[in-house]
Amino acid sequence: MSSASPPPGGGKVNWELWILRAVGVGVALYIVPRWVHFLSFLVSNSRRPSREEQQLVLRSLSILEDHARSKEASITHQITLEELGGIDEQDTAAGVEPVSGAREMPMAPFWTSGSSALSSAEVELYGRQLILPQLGVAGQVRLKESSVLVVGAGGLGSPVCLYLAAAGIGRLGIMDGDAVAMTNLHRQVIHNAARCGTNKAISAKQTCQHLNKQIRIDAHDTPLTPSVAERVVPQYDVLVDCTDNPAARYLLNDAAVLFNKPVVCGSALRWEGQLWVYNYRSGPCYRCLHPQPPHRLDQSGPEGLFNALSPGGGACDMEGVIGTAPGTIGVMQAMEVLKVCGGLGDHSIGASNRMVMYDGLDAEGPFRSIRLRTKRPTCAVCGDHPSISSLQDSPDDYIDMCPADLLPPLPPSAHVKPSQLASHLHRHPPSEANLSAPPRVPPILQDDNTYQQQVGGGDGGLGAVSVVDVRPSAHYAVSHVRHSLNLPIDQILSQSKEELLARLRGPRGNNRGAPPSPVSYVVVCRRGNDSRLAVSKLRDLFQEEADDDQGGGGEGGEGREEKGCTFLNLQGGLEAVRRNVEPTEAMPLV
Amino acid sequence: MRIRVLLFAGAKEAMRAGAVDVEVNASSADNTVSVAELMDSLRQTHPPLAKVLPNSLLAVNQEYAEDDVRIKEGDEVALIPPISGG
Repeated sequence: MSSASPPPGGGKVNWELWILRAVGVGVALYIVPRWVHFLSFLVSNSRRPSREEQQLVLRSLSILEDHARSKEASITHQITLEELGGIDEQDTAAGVEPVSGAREMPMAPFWTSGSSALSSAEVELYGRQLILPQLGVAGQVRLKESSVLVVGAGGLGSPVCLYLAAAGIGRLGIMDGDAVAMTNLHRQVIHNAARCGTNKAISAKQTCQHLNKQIRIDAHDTPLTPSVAERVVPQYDVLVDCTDNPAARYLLNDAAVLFNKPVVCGSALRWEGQLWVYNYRSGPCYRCLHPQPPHRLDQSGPEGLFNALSPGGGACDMEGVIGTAPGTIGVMQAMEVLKVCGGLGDHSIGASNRMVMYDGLDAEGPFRSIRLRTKRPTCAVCGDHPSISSLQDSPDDYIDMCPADLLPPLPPSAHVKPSQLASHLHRHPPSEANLSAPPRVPPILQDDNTYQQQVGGGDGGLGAVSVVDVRPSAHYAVSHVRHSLNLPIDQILSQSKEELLARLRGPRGNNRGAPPSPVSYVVVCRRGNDSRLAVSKLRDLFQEEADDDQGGGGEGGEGREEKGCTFLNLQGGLEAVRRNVEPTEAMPLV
Repeated sequence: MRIRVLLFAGAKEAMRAGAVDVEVNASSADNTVSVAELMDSLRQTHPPLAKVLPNSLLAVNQEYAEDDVRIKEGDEVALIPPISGG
């Protein structure tokens, strides 16, 4: 700031004015650049928002809107479903959310539906099947008034439930006691990966209720037992057999006959399936065709038991199944139910008493059918003089038995705990390097392909271990314990002692001069049932001689060589070992 | 008399074949065999089938056949065990 010179011509200097001017200039110098900066900020921010910014705002708005809408919807639909009996407390506990969209639209004042029994929503939902002359409005009303119990929400039950729900069966019951597992999903398409661990009946109900909110669906999250059958079967008009084992099939049959309900029966395994309608229009029942449950058939010793209870193959987890086989049969079961319930019974395969057989691998024509027999007069449940008049009369027929259940128990010392084997294998992973050397190993174990782990004491008592896997070779081929020996159960049961000895020894097991030493064969399968059967036979063949110090008199050197070998059953099978592996996905098992 | 038996489900699995031929002694009168006789022959000549026979249906010309039904040359015979899976 310059010192002001006195103005010319004026004697008095106005100092106050000059000070004010100086302060004004100072203030201006301070403020103006800031105003310019502020204004340029305003100008730069008055541009159009970018695309990303616009989307962000729109997304936030739509989330808010959806949230508000879902709040409103859940209140409306909770009430609707409560009225329908669609969602109950049990479902809420299991995480089944209410379905959306139950809004009844009143008809326009000048418009009317052909039947007061169908709502405008139902007319719209079922329109494409309503216009079929064979069904029509009357048929649709019959479907609406029908109640159907689907027993089993698995490979067959998935399409059955989906199509029956979609077609408008008024009350659908779904019964299953199992939980959804990852290995189910290739065929049980009503469930999904997020529902693993959820009960199948509840999961199936959830999917179906999303498909059709107009119908009542009841989930029975229990396996079929005689008391459950007595309570639930009478509530329904038609039963659908989508079970997966003979015991449940005999139980459902007997309940159907005693409570006089027709059964649409499907079954599928591998690439094949069968379909028929029984206890319908005075036709035969399941027992008329198959009088004896498997466990009543000839069964002497482990081999007889295995043959009786696994006649040509039991369940999907042992024999394998292509998802579309139960899918195909299930869709056809739904078709039969719709005919039986919709007033088209004359067109049902039950009316002609035929069984349809499907073979997905038959290039000549995958379908064929045979005409079945009439009622068997001597049938135990539907014959002239039935021996079964209540579900308490033949309880053994309703227990899903596996051969091992019917064998005398093995001694406790013949079992290995899964944790014991798991920790042994963790500590000593089988590898080429630690395959045993000949001098420590008895001749029976001389096998390049067999894992023989030489371990001293302090190892849970397992010592030298050889793992024998008795699962079918297709299962073994997918995954197995390294260097284990695959000797499928049917071969163990059917082969002679000499053949089995050769298999256990392996291709180079002919070193007869080597001294025997104690070795354990740990026999494994998936669940510990077949392995128990195998151990039972192997102990009968080899171990009794080995246990007997006198050598069994007449028996030759063959028996002596196995002296000291023991056969141990892996309790609970490889599935139980898997539970000791972290993460379990590291041990995929089929 | 040679009879071709079509195999299904567990029977096909047991024999690993879609059909088997079985030689049976026909009765001299009308050159036929009964279902029971055929079952006996199957049991003896094809041991792997023994385990499925007790619970299987036998269909002759696409029709369920009781033990006393007579089978003649050229008939279509099918052995059908039940399937349990689902």
